[in-house]
Amino acid sequence: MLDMSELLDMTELLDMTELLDTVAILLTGAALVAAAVVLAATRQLACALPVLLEFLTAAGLTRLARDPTWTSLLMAGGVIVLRRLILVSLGPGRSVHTADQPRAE
Amino acid sequence: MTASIEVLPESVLRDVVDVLVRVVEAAGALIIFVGAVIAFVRFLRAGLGMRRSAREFATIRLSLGRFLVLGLEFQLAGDILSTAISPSYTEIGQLAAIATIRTALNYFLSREIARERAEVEGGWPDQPASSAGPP
Repeated sequence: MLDMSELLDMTELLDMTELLDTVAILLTGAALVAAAVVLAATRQLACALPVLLEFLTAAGLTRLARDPTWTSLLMAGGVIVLRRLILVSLGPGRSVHTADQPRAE
Repeated sequence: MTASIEVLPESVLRDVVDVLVRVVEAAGALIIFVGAVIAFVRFLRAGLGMRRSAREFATIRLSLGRFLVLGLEFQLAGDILSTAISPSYTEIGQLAAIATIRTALNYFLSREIARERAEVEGGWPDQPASSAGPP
């Protein structure tokens, strides 16, 4: 039979709200750095923006892992919708040009 | 006087499910974090190294997306577990929202993968078919 006090201790141990908040902040920072690296390498916003939004989605999903609130759900959903809108507005095929092979003007 | 044998009291069951939910959600968050770290390192290596093709970045981004979908699967499993005992309308609503997000992510990611594959197989738009693909 499970010991109730041990179980409750385990529950408190697994309460990782602060850790998940920290991870989400780290992922947000990683989003900015990775997007900056891609932008510097390709000089194309169409390549860097999806990277930024992908990492921001990861940060939003990490926040969902703790007790999800309607605000965190809306934020995660909003980032995904925003990401799609930006990708659609940038147009298909614009992300496939290489930095060393610039588009023909 | 009523003689009842409590094999598994509801309070214990509730605590057990609570622990399981936290473990499964932590696993989902860990998968997302690990995927993000791997993608971040790969982005840095590709950006600072010689492989600066946009297709390389798109491939890394898609791999991150797969980690996100996997992490979401775990989060969804945790939510399903949490509704096992006395689900409230709020919990069901949040489960529906997470399921919607997961499904949308899955759908868009599958489309992106299919598009990437079509681009690889069909060549690059601004290049002749003979020189298809990244250098």
